[in-house]
Amino acid sequence: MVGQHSRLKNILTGVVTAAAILWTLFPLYYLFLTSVKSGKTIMEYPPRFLVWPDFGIYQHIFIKEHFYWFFVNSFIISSGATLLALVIGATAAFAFSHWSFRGKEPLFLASMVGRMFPPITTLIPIYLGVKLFNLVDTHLALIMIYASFQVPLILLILRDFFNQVPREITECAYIDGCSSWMVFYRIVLPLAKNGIVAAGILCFVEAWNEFIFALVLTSFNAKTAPVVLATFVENEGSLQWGALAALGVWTVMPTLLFMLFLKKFLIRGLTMGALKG
Amino acid sequence: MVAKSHRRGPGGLLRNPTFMFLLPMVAYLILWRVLPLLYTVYLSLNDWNLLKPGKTFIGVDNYVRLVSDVRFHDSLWFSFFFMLVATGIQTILGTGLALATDRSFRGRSFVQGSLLLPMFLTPVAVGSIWYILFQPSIGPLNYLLSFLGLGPYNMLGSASTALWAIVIADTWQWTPFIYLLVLSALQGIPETIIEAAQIDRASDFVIIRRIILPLITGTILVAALLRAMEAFRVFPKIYVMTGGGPGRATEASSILIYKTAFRFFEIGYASAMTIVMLVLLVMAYGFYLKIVRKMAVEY
Repeated sequence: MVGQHSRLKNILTGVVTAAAILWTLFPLYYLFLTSVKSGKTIMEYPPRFLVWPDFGIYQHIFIKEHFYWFFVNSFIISSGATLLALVIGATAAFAFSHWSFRGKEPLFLASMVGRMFPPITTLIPIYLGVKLFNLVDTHLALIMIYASFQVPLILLILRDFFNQVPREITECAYIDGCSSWMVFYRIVLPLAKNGIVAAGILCFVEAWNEFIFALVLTSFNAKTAPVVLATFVENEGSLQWGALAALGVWTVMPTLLFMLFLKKFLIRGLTMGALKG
Repeated sequence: MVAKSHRRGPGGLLRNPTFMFLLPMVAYLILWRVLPLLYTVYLSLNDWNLLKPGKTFIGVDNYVRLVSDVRFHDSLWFSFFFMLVATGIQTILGTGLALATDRSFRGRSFVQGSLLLPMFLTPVAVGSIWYILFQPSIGPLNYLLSFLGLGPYNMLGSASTALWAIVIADTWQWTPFIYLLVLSALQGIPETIIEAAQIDRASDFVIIRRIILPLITGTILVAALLRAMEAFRVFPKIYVMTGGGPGRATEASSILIYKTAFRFFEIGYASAMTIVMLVLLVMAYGFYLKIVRKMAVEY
């Protein structure tokens, strides 16, 4: 955008950009490197920055240490929460984009404020409630909690996408005798597919990454990947560096893949989610 | 469009589509957000240790106890300091990077994509990555510092540096957030404005200072606010990297509340901490928004 590219300026921005890329990618590379170093090379000084990769630890962690179980837990919980939040958030977003009603703006703001409160403010009562209903260490508890964090985000993103559905189309459908539910389900939802994908991915990633509720509310059956990783660092971190790094790689893998394959969706959803407050 | 008219009356609400479409969300948010928050307020007025049976209503005693609880004060100072430092650094770096990479060049999509990566990663994993990087025994940072004749340091093990180690990890992960928002604001500036300034022979510095920055100030301020809200509640990174230590040098409020409630099982006291933290936060945001409005008027 800034014109008159003088040579000096090009070199300068080139150096800055290269440094930024190195700073961003090197930690990820070193995590991977640590996970594929053999036991002896890990402790070597000076540390090696290139090794012949040894993937043994990945299999060991995943199968023998039963990490697959927690990985699957994370998948079940994140997908469940995303689906639940999409159902609840999308119906509300439809009402907000298609009808005017008393108290519309205050209600919208109130739902947004709900998202801004630090989650820790509700951690204690939710823990007590979940315990009361015997739902500690179940997938269902985390699914319901994460959905409650994500509903406002879905509302924020989908309201904008629903607004873009032309009024003529929905009005025609009403004239043809469609009920509101059919207009929503048959017409608006399919037309806002991109928005649903974007909102869904964001929810999934946030649910996958959540830590503090999973830490407090699970012990084994519903334990999620981040909790396993954190407790591993706490207990065995300084003994098994390779295993720790491999756990880290397993944990970030799904979000990394989402990011690489669906960048376009994500960035649109993110900027909308963050800015249109 | 206003919905087809729906008469009020018995069962009228149930036939009102607006109500029915909104009901699930409103009920859900009340159940999971509003009621728990109110219950936290109630709990804060009770003395309740989970290891002992029953709770007793003690009024504001928990709050009185907080007034002289040095450990709690330290945690608040830590959280606010961390929030200010981390947000400040990330805002400056993110804005600078966005200004530097917002132009067409070969490999631009690769560059922008890579720079955004860290913000999608699990915070616990980011904590683990930097936990490894900062290790004197196996991490590379001390080795790299040794070329400058410095170190070795154990940044996570020393009370004066542990905070900065966490700030570095947090900056690594969240500078991309500011970068993303500022970049999208920059891409919304019409080319013609910049071209007009160039025709008038304005230097790059003047263009950035006088035209671009004023146009993106709003975005930067909002981005910084959103970032600050998240920075204040930092939990996973500290939990993984230092556990609040060494000593309690990195004990943020969130860590202290977690420990009080789930390690010492003082549910009532931890609830009081939560409420005080929340009130202070709301005040801080209100103050910030007031300043922002003033700045917005200036432009």
